[in-house]
Amino acid sequence: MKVIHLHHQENELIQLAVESNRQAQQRIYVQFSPKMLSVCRQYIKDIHQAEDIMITAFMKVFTNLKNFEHKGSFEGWIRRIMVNECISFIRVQKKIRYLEEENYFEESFNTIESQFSVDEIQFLIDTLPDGYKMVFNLYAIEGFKHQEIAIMLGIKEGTSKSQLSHARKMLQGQLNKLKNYDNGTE
Amino acid sequence: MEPNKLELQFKEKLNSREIQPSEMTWNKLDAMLTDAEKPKAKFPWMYVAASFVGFLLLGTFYFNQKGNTMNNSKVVLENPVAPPTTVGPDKRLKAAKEQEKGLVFTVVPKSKSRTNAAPILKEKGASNGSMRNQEVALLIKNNSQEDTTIGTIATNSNDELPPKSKYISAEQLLAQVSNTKSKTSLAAIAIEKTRKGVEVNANRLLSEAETELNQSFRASALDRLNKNFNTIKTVLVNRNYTE
Repeated sequence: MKVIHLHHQENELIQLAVESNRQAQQRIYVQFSPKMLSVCRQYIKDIHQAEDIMITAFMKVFTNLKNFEHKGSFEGWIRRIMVNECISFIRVQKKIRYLEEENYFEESFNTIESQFSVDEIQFLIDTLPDGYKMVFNLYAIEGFKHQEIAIMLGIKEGTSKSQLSHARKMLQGQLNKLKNYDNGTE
Repeated sequence: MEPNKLELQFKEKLNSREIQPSEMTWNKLDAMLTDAEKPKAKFPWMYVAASFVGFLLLGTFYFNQKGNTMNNSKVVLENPVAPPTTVGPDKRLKAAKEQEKGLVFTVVPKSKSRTNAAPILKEKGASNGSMRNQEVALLIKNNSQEDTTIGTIATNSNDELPPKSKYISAEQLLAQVSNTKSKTSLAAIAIEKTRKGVEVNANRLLSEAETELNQSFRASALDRLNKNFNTIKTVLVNRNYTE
């Protein structure tokens, strides 16, 4: 009963926001902005730039709110807009060249049982080049398939796979460094 | 290439993370939203509306002008004063006669100056003189009806009067009267001839009048257009100034 009530409340809030009710818009913003800034931060290293992108994406959320069909979760819909905005920003700002390699090894992480903090994870992701970072984030964090990633980034499916392989290889190297640092070997 | 445990850990931790944005971000978004809510294309629409009204005015003026020219041509066709090609010789004669009748008063003084009959009659103070004068006038009035007989009368008339004759016979007086009559009729014929010489082309006159009308209408239309343009301009300027 509580879930239904919350869902009903969210729908009412969305309806008010569609009608340009500023209070409703602010409530949506306050509710989702911390999570969405975290999403933007995964892709953009600079927090101020990430904030700007988040604002632009929220603008798109409010202007296209009438198109929300209430089929999936509202948070998922906003998150998708954030991810698209981050990708388009990176694609416009930085000219990324994807190396198309036919022969690549399917890298996978060695089983590392140690737990990492969020800041450490973010640090590891930040070390990746933008191309690797985007594919890794889209695949590993957002859960998109290679086919979807290829469409989103305008690349071939194989390129997406090779990019993920390279990203994993690079991350493995960084994780080994961290492990050695923790063990005091470095 | 399935996501392994480490990647799942990454996902879990990153998805549960929350970064509080700075307080300024909402103000920025608020400003952007208010900007977006303002009617954007108000000013361009005003331009479009103004240009549309302008074209409408131009169109109405153009069609009005066309309509006027068409009406004028209709007037030409329906005019009872037909061009000379349609007028028959009988009708021309009638018109000439009517014109002559209208010019009776201008002919009479000329006849007086040319003939000495009237002054002489007055000098003599004869009671019959005034009567005869009236008769002369009547004869001049009716001279158009007797055009055919004028020639024969004119041949019999005597131009010269005795300068200092005390007594004037009735025959002489009659001769004088016939002389004046013939002279006035001759003068009328001369006028008619000159009138015939100056042929008036009805078509040309109508076309001239038409062009004058068109020019005057064009000038007035331009004036109105200028006035409307100025009013629209001032309204737009005022509006911009207030905004």
